[in-house]
Amino acid sequence: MMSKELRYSGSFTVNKPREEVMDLITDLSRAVECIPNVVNHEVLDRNKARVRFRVDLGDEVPIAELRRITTDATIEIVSAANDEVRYKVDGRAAGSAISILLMIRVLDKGGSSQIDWDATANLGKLLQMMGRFINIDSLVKKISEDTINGFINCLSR
Amino acid sequence: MGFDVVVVGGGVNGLFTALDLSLRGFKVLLLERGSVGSGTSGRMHGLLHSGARYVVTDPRAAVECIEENRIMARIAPHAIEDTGGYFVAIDKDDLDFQEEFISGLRRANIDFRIVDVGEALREEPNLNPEVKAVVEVPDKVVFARDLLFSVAISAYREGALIAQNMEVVGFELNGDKIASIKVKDGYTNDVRRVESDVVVNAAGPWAGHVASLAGVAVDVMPTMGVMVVYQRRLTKRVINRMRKPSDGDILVPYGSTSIMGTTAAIIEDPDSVSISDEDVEFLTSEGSQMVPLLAKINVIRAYASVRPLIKIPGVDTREATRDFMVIKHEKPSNMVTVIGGKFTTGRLVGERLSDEVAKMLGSAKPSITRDYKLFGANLYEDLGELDGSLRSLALSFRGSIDEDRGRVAVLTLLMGEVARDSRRRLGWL
Ligand SMILES: Cc1cc2nc3c(=O)[nH]c(=O)nc-3n(C[C@H](O)[C@H](O)[C@H](O)COP(=O)(O)OP(=O)(O)OC[C@H]3O[C@@H](n4cnc5c(N)ncnc54)[C@H](O)[C@@H]3O)c2cc1C
Repeated sequence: MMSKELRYSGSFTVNKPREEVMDLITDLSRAVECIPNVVNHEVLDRNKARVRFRVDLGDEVPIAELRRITTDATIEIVSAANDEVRYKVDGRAAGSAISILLMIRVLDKGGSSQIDWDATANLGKLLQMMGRFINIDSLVKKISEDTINGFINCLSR
Repeated sequence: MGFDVVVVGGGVNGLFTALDLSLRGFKVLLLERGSVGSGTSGRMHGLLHSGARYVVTDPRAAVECIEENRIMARIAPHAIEDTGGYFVAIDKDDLDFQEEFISGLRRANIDFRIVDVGEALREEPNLNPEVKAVVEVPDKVVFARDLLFSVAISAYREGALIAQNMEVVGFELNGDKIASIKVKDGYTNDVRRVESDVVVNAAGPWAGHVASLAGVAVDVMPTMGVMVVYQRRLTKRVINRMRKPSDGDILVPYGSTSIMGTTAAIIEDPDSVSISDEDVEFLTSEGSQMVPLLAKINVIRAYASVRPLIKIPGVDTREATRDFMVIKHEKPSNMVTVIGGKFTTGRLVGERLSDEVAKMLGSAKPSITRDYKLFGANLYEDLGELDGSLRSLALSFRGSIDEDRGRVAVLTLLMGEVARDSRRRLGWL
């Protein structure tokens, strides 16, 4: 079975200059602290961290143990240019592989910044199977949005 | 040979169903493809839930758990240790959950007590000294085999036959009814046929497969949970993390060991589970947040079992699987399937299934299992099933150094006799 690809994107503005946004999202040790649901993490080097998340699949999942599952992942900054950062997240959730490529582009809007993001998620076969019982699509979408929102909250602090 | 009811599956649900129906006077045969308890029921975590864990997310299941927790302690005192349980808040998120948790406990009518942290640490010296809040609840520990064998032997004493190593491999339909059940004998590989008015499908994670043998389309996805056994018992009580149910949040003191669980992973086949080092590492790291010493003592072993996620056309499993669901099929019209449940609610599942079956068979007799003391509560008084030499072997435990540890050994002897005699009476020798 081929792995399934899911894509999401979004855009918004923050009241911070582009440099400040870029500083945060290219500094993995700071950025990781902004991601919600991180239980613990370990920065491996400048561009790589190991992170444990607790992911909420929602109370409608009929098995209690499967509603909030712990996911171990590595997050890596694969490229960082002037106005664009790419993150790669490789992990395992509920015994299945998941990999997400997140691209964030920051446009200077004279004192504020526009952030365009684009996420592509690849789900392992078992997570795809789980899609028959749980809305995986909205789940991955929510995780992507939560992550971006986490960055924004950090920036507005 | 014909029966009123054939029960497929010798786990907690099937066994309590066989007992309940026998007590209502029906002629019952239970078929188990392996040994009694060889499925999920013999590989659970050992917790007789107080229901506290579910008060916020599944209040209905919580109420069922506390009621059954009290009933089980009454009908099977020998299989239960009344340890009590603590819910412990370790971090700020846990602490934030406390208020919701406590109002849930009140609503579900679960006795609880907010325990002073100092007192909790005196009571449970191995608890994380950083613990921020502690709530005590009536969690208990249930010894799986002791209970399962006791139910099986009780059912047999009430007239049910309990056949092991008998796998249901097919059904023959006549119109929209099951006319006969095809059973493969695991000892001889012969395929035999049994007739029964009603079939109860209590095959746990294999229930989807069994239903499909009868032509019912069900979508099943097995999920696996791992538990890790540590060499020492580190707490008197069950220790739960004070947060919404998740993976890695319960430590059960089981005999002289501690068992940490569980993980949650999707698998393809309920017959092939595999445990990785990461599972053990994860459970140890989560557990050691509650009881730090866990990280320092030896892991003896890890084991796993399976729960099914099931989808049936036309049935909203989301609503109904909390905590379990009894399904009466349109076709075959004489089959009932149960999905879900907990070890704790096995008796209740048996009662509900039996209510449905009794209705199908035109009987109004009610369930009496809630007041039925299980065999084993006075084990050594009554060993009638055993022949002379086995009986004296069993009795030799009494008053000896091994009386308590010997209980499951004696129940195993009896279980063997029950299965052997059931075969003999079926004529399947
Ligand atoms: C990891 C884990 C931990 C758990 N811990 C707890 C806990 O601490 N407390 C609690 O209350 N609950 C717990 N549960 C839940 C509880 O264990 C289950 O709900 C319960 O054991 C299910 O019982 P059952 O009879 O439905 O299934 P099972 O025990 O699996 O019984 C089904 C039986 O059917 C047999 N069978 C299958 N196919 C056939 C066939 N074709 N013919 C004949 N026989 C067949 C199998 O061999 C099996 O023995 C846990 C569950 C899991 C997965």
